[in-house]
Amino acid sequence: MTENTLQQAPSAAEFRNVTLRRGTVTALDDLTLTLPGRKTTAVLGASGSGKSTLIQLTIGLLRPDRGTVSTLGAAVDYDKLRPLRKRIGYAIQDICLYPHLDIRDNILLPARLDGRDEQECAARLDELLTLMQLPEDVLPRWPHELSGGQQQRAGLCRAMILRPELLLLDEPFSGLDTMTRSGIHDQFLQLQDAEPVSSILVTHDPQEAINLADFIVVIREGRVQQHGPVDDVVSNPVNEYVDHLCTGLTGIAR
Amino acid sequence: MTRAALLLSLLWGGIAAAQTVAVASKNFTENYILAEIAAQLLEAHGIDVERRQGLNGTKISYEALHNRAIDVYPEYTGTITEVILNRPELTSLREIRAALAQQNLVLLDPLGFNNTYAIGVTREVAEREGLGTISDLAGHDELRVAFPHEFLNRPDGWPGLRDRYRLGLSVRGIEHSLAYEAMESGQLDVTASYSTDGEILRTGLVLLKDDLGYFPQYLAAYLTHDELRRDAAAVLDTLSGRIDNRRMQALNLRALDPSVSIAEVASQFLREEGLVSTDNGGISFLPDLLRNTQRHLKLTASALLLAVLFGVGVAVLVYRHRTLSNAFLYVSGLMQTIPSIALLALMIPLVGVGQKPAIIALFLYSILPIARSTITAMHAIPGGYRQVAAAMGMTRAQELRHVLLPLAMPHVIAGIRTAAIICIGTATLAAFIGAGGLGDPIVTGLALNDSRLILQGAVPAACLAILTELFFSQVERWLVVPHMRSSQPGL
Repeated sequence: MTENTLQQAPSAAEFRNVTLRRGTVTALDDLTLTLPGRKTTAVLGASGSGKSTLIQLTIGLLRPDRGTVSTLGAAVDYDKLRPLRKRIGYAIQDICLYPHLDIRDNILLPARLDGRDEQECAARLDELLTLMQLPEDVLPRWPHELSGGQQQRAGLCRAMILRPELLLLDEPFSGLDTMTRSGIHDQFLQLQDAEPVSSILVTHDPQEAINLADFIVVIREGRVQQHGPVDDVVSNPVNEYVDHLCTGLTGIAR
Repeated sequence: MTRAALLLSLLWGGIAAAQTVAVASKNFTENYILAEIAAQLLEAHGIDVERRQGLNGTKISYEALHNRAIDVYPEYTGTITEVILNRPELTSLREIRAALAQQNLVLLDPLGFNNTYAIGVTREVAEREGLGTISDLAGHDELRVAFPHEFLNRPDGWPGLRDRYRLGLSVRGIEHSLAYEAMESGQLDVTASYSTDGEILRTGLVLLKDDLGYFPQYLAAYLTHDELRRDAAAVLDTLSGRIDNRRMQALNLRALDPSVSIAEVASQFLREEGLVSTDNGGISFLPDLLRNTQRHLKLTASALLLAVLFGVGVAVLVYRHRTLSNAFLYVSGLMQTIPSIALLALMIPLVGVGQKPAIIALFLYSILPIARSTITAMHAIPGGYRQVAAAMGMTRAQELRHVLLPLAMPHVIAGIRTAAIICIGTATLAAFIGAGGLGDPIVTGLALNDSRLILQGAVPAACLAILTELFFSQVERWLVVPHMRSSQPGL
């Protein structure tokens, strides 16, 4: 019923017969799925569908009860997560920035933890600010002094500061109003053009998935409903649930 | 941070001056006077003195001397044999000194008076009945007699006296303080008192001679240790034999006047004896205040520093485990329920007297507020922050340093602040076990009913509490970014 494997290696993430329970709830049920490298895949589903779980498995924040997870072409080694995590950028909704650090320190934190050269960092920071259209005068300010959109863009900058091979975005734009969101969408697409990187974007907003992603995975109650290129999913929904999600949505952005 | 380090080193350095002589006393008037006389005489000879007066009883005073927390205090031969050495069979000064030497203690030459129990009768009765000795009381069973309750009941008091002298008097009990009034107003003919009580002079009581030598000797002398500066010992020896019973009664009587301070009584005595030329009474106020404050700060700062290291340290180790955190908070809460005086007293058999037990007790009191605020703050940190930290590949140490501690810092500082204020208040009680500090004048003032002395401790302690508040506002300013501070801006 679903097409779970796609071409192109190395994959961004690979799930084989993954089952995960959280308490008495089965978050993922025998899920097998391969997300392609160098593409953006949107994981689309309602809250509680298990879509955030997928991202947390990818980076080793959760461990499957059964099955295996491979990230960036290798099985996740739960005893040595740090080398893997340093190759991944991660941004989540709302509280991604630390309130006790100003914007500059927030964005540069991963680089400093990694002992990177200050000059190299400064150059990278400039580059990202330009890409994300953040003015330089936000740098010395505290997170709470920025608008929601600016905060999320700063969060993206931080996720990108070390030039990750994989970008994990857990509903990073869902707290924003429509206008701000579409602005950020544009900047995200520019970022993807400038620095193509494997991305997994978790969202409950079909329009966002269509705007930003190359591929869509629709998840419901821990099971994959449909997986494929955006056009395929929108034009040939495999069941009523997917059809219902995508009804009224058009306009392939890319 | 360097400023704080500098401040601490100043505090420590100021106290370290080695050659200071710590003069102590127990908490009753006569002992205060004798200690103050010693202190002023030493000062007049250019020796630095530290007053540690008002120790709570013989046991604590002896322990303090034994641990070198103090250097000298006035003691009585009877107390030494009965309580300190527990060898009542020793009677001669030579024997007592030999026994003390085994504990590296030294008894200087007696001051000249014997403060023992004495039987007193009113002058009128003494003359009418021709009473001069206790033996003379035999056959005078019609006399109205009342003894203080303690004397009435202790075996070396009335029961022994009655048997030794074969007396048939019928005796009532009375409050010690009321006995003199009853004698003065003629309601009573005979009572028991201490032979150096100031009231004996005032009421003109006649003390009957203990002709059978029943009462043990309580000769007063300075008790010290064998490492006391030689020049200090020599200075104190000049006091030997200078205070007889009548003189001591006079000094005690003078001290009964609430408008006369102990320091004034002592200084007047020294001038009368020609031992000191100038009035020394008020000079020591400021140095004493500074020294007490310094010592108080040292007590609280040491205890607090330990409590911060331990409280925050353990909190950081256990906060992830509900059960462990709760157990830790429960135990430190238990400490908090022990009354301060009891906790201080409990420390004595474990670590002796002086600053060490006080610091340990204050440390135990400080753990709870610090640990509780740290653990609560850790638990209150939103999970997302920790998830992002983990996703960045932070180690536990990095997470603690860059995320958890900075986020918890405002609450941790608030906890430390609370602990500091508790410490400063509780540390005033530490004077009871010889730790010194601003409690010294308070304890002395309480014992002598001298409110000026009490204020000399209480006011600086209150100021210290306020300064501590300000200090921690500053610490917060150093360590916490503006929008996360708990203090009001401008304070």
